[in-house]
Amino acid sequence: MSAQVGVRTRAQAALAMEAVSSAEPSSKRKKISNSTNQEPKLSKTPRTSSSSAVKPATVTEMVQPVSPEMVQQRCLSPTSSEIPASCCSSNGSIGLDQDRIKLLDLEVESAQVETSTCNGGHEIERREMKRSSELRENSQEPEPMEINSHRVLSKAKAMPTELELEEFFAASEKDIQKRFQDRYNYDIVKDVPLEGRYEWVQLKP
Amino acid sequence: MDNLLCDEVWLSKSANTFEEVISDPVALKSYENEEFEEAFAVCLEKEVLCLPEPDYTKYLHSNNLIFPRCRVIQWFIKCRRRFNLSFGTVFLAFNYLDRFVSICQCNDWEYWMLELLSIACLSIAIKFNEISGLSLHEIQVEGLDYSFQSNVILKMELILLKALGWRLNSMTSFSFAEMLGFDFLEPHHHVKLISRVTDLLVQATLDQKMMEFRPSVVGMSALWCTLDQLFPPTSDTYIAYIMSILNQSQKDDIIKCHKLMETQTSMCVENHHYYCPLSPTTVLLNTHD
Repeated sequence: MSAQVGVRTRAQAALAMEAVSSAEPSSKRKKISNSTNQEPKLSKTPRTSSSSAVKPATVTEMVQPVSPEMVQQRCLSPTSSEIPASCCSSNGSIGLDQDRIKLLDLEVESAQVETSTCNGGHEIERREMKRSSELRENSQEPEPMEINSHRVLSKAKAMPTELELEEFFAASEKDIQKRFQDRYNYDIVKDVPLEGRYEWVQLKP
Repeated sequence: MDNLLCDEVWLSKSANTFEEVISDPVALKSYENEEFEEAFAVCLEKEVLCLPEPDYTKYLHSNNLIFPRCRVIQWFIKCRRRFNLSFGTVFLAFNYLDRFVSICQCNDWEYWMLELLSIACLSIAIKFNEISGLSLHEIQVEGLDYSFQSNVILKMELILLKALGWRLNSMTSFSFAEMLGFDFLEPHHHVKLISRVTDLLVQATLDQKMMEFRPSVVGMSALWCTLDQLFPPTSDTYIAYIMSILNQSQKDDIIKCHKLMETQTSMCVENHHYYCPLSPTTVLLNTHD
């Protein structure tokens, strides 16, 4: 009994090792430019004046190289997205200066109002639940830092569009198929064997 | 009758072993040890099938995913408390998340993608490991920046299942610790051991330095640290036995991981940051305080 189990697991382990070796070429997709795009989003989290006072130089450094790319992305967003609310919110978040904080809050609030009118009842229910949960968080966790950061994040970010969701799903599916293809050296879509570990023999049904 | 006994000194299940100094070594039947060793070997082989891809930590670094991953894991822990889930469920969700992120290496990870994935991971882990389920609406009640419709989450779940190859019964650091520790101790010692071990394991999950080690290594190291603190007399005997059934590279990994875990544990205690990653972000948080 244990011998049979051992045989199966060893075969599967061999397949896993095959996957390990085949995983190496996929790591080449890493791009340095993408990492710079994501950094400012992380830096937005601590927006307290003390944090900006501690590291003013790094904040300016992080903001400057990203702004032209982000502008390009937001120029593309009105054509790609069907919902005008996301366009408004994305335009509002361009200005990162402290002087525009009030304007940013106003624009974000107006964007939220627009989305609520567009979507109807479901969105209102979700926001009410979010508010009640925030109240609970206030009562349970008296730490001011987490609450402020949570509120800022929830206000600043817009929901992903259907196109973005579809792109994410499609990219994931593509990676999964490629992984299978590399592992078993067989192209299911074209129904053709590829160069690799296995030798495929055609059978006549 | 003598053939059933072995010469090894092994832990007895009686409470006296922990109360008194071991004067007379207690011997277990040999088939019990053999059975454990076979099961342990099978679990080690099974572990390989459910690991993230190699160089996963480097990938997280290069895509700035270390901190978002920590946020998401902390959300899992909040959900565990809120919905009274088992730690086994939560550690399965950790495993699904890491495997998917290392398989589907998108060039542009955004935080909403990670949140959507996390909801799917937790939902599948709950269906797999818990008796009573949660609706997709209930899961999103608290702690998230985004909310998704049920059909979107279900689509994400299906893609996640494909990526994982439908292999959901992963060997996690928690399952290793559970197998190694709890079967050999009396019930009244479980509570102390369980809470301490799981705390160490959660910290290890959040710590990027620990991500280099396999779940089995992390699980055994956490168990080692805990036994050293709670049951010093039996710890040496027990660890010596576990080491005897491992090969040299596994031993080296455990010793290395154990030292690192002890260091990180003392640092965490000093900083009073529970479930907080030891990273530059921690420095920022300390600055605010």
